[in-house]
Amino acid sequence: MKSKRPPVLFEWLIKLFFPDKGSYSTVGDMQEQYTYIRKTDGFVAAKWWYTKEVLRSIVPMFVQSILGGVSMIKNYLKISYRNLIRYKTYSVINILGLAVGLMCCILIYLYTVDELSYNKFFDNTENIYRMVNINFDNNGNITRKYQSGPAVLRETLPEYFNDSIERITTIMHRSGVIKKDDNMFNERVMFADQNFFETFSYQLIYGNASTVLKDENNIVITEEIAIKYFGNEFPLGKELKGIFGEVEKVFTVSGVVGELTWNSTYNFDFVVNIENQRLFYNDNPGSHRLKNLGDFSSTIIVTLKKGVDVKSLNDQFDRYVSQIFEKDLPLHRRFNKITSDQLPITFRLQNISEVRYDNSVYGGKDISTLYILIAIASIVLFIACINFMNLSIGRSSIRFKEVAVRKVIGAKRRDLFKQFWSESISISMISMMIGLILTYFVLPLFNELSGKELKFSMFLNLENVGVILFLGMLVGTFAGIYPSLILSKIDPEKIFRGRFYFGGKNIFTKSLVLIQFALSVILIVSTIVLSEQINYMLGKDLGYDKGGIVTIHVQERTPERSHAIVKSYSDKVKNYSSINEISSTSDAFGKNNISYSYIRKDEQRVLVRRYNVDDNYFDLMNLELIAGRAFSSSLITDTASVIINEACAEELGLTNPIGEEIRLFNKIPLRIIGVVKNYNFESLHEKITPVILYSRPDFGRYFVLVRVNTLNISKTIKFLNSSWNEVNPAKPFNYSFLDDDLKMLYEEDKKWQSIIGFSSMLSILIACMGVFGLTTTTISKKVKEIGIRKVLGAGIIQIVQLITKDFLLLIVAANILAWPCAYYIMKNVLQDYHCRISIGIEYFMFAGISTIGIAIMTVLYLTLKAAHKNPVESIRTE
Amino acid sequence: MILTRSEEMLLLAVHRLQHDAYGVKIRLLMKEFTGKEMAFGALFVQLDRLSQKELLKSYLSDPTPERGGRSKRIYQLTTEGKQALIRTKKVQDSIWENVNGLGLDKA
Repeated sequence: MKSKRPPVLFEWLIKLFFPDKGSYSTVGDMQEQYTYIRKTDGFVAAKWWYTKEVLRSIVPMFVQSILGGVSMIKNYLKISYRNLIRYKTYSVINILGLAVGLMCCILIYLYTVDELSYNKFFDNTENIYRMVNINFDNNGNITRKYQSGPAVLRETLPEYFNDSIERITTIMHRSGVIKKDDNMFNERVMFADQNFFETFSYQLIYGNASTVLKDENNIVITEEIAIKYFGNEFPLGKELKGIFGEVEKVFTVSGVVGELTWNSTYNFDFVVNIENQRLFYNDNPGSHRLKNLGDFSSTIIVTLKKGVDVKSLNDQFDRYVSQIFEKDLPLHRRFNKITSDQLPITFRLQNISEVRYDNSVYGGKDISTLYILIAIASIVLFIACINFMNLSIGRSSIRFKEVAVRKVIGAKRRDLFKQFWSESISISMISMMIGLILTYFVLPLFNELSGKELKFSMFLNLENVGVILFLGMLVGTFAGIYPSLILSKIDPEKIFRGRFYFGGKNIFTKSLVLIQFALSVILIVSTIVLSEQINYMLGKDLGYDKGGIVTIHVQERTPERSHAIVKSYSDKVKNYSSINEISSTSDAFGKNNISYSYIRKDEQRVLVRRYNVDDNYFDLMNLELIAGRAFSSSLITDTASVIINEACAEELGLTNPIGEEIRLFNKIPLRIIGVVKNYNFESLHEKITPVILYSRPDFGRYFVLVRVNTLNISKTIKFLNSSWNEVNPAKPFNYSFLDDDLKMLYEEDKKWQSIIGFSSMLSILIACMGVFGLTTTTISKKVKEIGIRKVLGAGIIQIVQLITKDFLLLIVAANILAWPCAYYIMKNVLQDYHCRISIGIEYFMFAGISTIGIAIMTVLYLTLKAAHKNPVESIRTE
Repeated sequence: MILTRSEEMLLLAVHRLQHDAYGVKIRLLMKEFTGKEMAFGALFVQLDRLSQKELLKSYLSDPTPERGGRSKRIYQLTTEGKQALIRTKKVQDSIWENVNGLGLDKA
């Protein structure tokens, strides 16, 4: 059951406002009412009531606890309003700066909430767990965790944990072709236990959750898929043909699921009953995926009965494993190199809401990325807050008289403090409103950058309104506290005698400006370095020629079929004028099907990636051989030959590898006939790993590579497509460009770069707004000085110098301060890339010159205006 | 000192509830009086102000579990509170005395 406590945030708010000593009787009263409503109207109603109640209470509480009475607040607000209207430049700078900072925060907040909402919307999320497979080493330390296990456990688990487990849902996936008449596409099909829809409360538009998958001939699809295949026709009862390699089966649509929410790890396009897996093992029942205790590739979802304690259940898994896996344990021990009687593997249950951000498990995301985003948003907001502080302090002289008069009349320091505080809070609230409006307009852009589908309407619920109000108050307090302290401190006697000079050198303001620009410089340097790194990776010579290569997926599973298709297709297209070269391979770069295997040379074992290629491959890819020769189809012995890359030769410790023999899978002997220069076949994040290439008919080649003339590309693709349809009409034409595939490897980097670039732009914008405001203040203070200097003969240049010198020094200092920090940060970031650029001085220079340039541009207009002013006017007025 | 309408109602509610005069109950009674539900925040601000004016005093009862282990703050009228109520009543009576033509009698 959900917790019995009311929403934490609001409880906290109440406590903040009612520090009635010791016992919080107010909170108690509200909780009593909450408990009552919860009993009569249920949990949701009570939560709503509580939230509503707190929000209703905020205004009176706020007035009471901060201002101590309603009498003065009207006056305070009126004065704030008049000040805002009177000094429009300051108001715009303050409000707009804060609004942009707050917008950043709201965007990141939305992003974070969305990221953390994964898998939380199912009806009984709190009872749904997934099995995590844990591997140990010899010392009992955890080495790896995987999110999958053997499907066959579904038979023993319910029995073993009889009184705890409600149901088991096993899930696996298989890619195939789904065909309806002439429409066919490559799809990924989910195979799941028939209780899938009972476990996961996806909303079925048609079909009943408990029966929809019962029949093995049934298939459940999403609304989107229904439209894709059936258009406006009613999908229920219609047939879809699934083609998985050689296996074909006709399914009947028995259910349709409404629009899927994006925040689920268990989304799907098609679901069929898991028992269909049997079709794939007809000729070899021994390796049946549903029966094989050694196949750790299925997702196992366990729904627990209500109130079961997961922790004590988890403690029983070790015993379960040693019982069920008894026969397999020695094998697993050998895999994990365990010599003692330490348990090599075990399982644990993990709630599905924790799945997305657990990077200890293979495939989980690293939560620190979220922290970095939050840090970036806070930096932007912090820069905006500094503006607020600086401007308030800078123009405090305008309000000295007001403060002095109030004090003489009898206001205490506390009252004045409250006045300025409430003023800054109201300004921050106005900024919040504008920030929300900005968010609304910037959201589409942000979605594009972050690859999310956030909607503004998701944001509009009561809890978030509370968060907004709270954030507004926090920012107002943070930004307003120092100016309020300063302003309320003033001694009225000095003011009236005209002896009060505020600030003098004003170290505080200056150091704040310094921090602002230092932070901006760090962000700018990071942006430049990241984008340079990405450009470098995209433009780097990979060791082969990636341009103009079309990759066509053959989509057959057996070697014989794949060779037949490759052969007839190559024959068909090879004479076309725009096609320069044709080859085929078992694995294409930038696709995610990685096959790693061990090769053996004497007693040495090396993990390699292997490719089955034909003799044209080296010509087509423009790979450079540094020793030996390429394959030749005229030599029959070449089926037992292998070409290795430099990395592999190095790993094997061979200086002259030609003629040496290695063994693949411990059995197939291969003779090395050539060594290929290292080339980057993966993302440049990674080091180049050992590769072997062979040319064997008994292994499949699943991709046709075509180097085309890029001039007439669309016509060529059309030709390739129509030829494909003639050669293999049963499968859709599935092609991509190699350089596009390679670009996909850097999507994540691109995303980061644009988010950081976006925020560095905002930060420099806000910082410049601050400089603009400060310059206005400086000039207004120095009007007379400028006038007198001009009368005495100062030129425009001297006057510009007078005003800009200080700022320039500050910005130069900020740069000097920021560079080591930026260098340190980026050095760490670049550690993630195996092939990386060196961080040259030019990036720092660029950031420095651009910040100085932008700041000067900002103040130049104001300065020139002041310098050109007729001294008669400025000195005359007193 | 003359009380405002809401102060008067609050004091009367506290008086009528006697030893049961704490937040939840006062709020209920106020709802009976006016038909509107006061926000807890507003209620406590008012009670607090009345206590500051020394028209009310309060003490803490023992904590109970349904309140999350927090005690009740039970309010009582002070002598000044009682006097203020009586004074207000007198003033009101005198205002309403001999008022005719509003249609009061028919209602």
